[in-house]
Amino acid sequence: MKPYRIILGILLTVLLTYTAQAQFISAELGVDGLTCSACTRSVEMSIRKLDFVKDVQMDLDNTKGIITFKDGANVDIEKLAKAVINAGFSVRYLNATFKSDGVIKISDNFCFAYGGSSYQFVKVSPTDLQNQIVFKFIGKEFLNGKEFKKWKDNLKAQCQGKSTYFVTL
Amino acid sequence: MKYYVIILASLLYFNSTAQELFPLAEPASSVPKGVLGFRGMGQFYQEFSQTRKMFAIRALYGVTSKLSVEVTASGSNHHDTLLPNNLLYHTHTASGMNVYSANAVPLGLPFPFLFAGFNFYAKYRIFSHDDEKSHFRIALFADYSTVKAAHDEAEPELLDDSPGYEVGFIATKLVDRLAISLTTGYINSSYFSEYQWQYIWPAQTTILQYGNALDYSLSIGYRFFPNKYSGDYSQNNFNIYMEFTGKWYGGATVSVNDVVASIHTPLLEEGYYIDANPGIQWIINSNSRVDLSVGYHILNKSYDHFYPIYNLGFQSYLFLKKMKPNYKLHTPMPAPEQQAN
Repeated sequence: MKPYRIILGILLTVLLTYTAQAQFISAELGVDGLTCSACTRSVEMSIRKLDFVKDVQMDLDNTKGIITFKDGANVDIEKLAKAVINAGFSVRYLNATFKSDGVIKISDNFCFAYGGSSYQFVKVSPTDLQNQIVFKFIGKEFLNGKEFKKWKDNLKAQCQGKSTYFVTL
Repeated sequence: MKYYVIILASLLYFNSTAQELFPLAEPASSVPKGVLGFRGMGQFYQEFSQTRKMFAIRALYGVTSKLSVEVTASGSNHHDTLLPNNLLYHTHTASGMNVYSANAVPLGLPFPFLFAGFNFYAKYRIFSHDDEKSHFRIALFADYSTVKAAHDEAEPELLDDSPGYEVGFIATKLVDRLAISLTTGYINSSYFSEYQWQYIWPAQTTILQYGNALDYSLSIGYRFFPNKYSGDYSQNNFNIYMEFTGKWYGGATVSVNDVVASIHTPLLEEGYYIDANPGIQWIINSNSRVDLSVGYHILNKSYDHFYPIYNLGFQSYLFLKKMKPNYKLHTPMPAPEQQAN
């Protein structure tokens, strides 16, 4: 890679991303493939093993759960999805609430850097976001098969960083 | 027979909204990763004046999200310490009828309770299709048994009677409250060898090679109670089951001092059968389960056991890291101050 490309990359990252002293405070996730209370409990226990999780509240009838995260914790959304998979089930949807301490101006393919990862906004119109923002995660491990198919063609990673998550509003 | 059809039809009729924690069969689903489970099993049937008992204890572990392993230790009073003297001719028909022949082993003899051995089982989920409140899964399994018992019938039984290995697959479909699972496996049997000297003169080495078998089962489960979850893990759950189990096994081969002997008893010949096992299950605290099922013959009979055969089970999961689940569910969702959409 030529040096000017690296510099350009860094510049682009700085320009296109926004970092703030903020964090994910909670998430709601739907779980596919389960119908029994024992299975729901297994999912809850698997999520509780994560060190950044403060509390889990499962909804048996609607097969979903609300997860609250510890203050100041570095939340790893991929680990959260993996916890559901490890319990033997799949994520139907994963929406995480991000608490921002400033205004975030987003537009289509805007890259938001947080905690070493990038969050690329897909199919969004330009908006100013503040306070609590719900990130809807897009990915094979975050959506059920049918829903993911609808998004598949729109996912072209443009952000820098060790990992990129695709999100929408 | 018609009762089973009625039960089966009623199960299918309640297609509203069951469970795959079958008392006898394994589902295609895995043990959650990193979770250790324990299962205690008891099997009972009456052989005239004797109550035959089998007890087993099993440890289950979820190695990965797809791979589960199990180790089972078992023991029973099904067999004597030695093979019958008249192995090639003996009968002790399990037909439930009082049939004696000149060569019969008297039925209902008291046998000591003996440790049988260990059984190692692994299951790998190769396919999963999950949807909201439903799934379809396929798993491959392998089972290896080191059991050593003076089991004197052709039919192999890897859990507590005979050594060997089994490979097969499981397909499980779950829709809301109903679960249906099909298991098929091929059992490659090993043998039991005995140097017979106590009652036989001159002493001889007898090797009993058990038949290989096709193992099959169809299990249906339905969540009977509750109709709707109260939103509390401590709520009791009851599931009802119907499991059809059976084997199609080849004949045994007996060799005496390395010479193949001719067999004169149906117990050592090939056969097949189907049992129907209605069962009920109580799920406690969404973590432990108590199973009870009773087996009846519907097509032929197994020489391996008498009927009815009662199976009792207790299983519980241990989540190794000390954690308490939130028993109260259904709390309102946190309302974000601003939710852009």
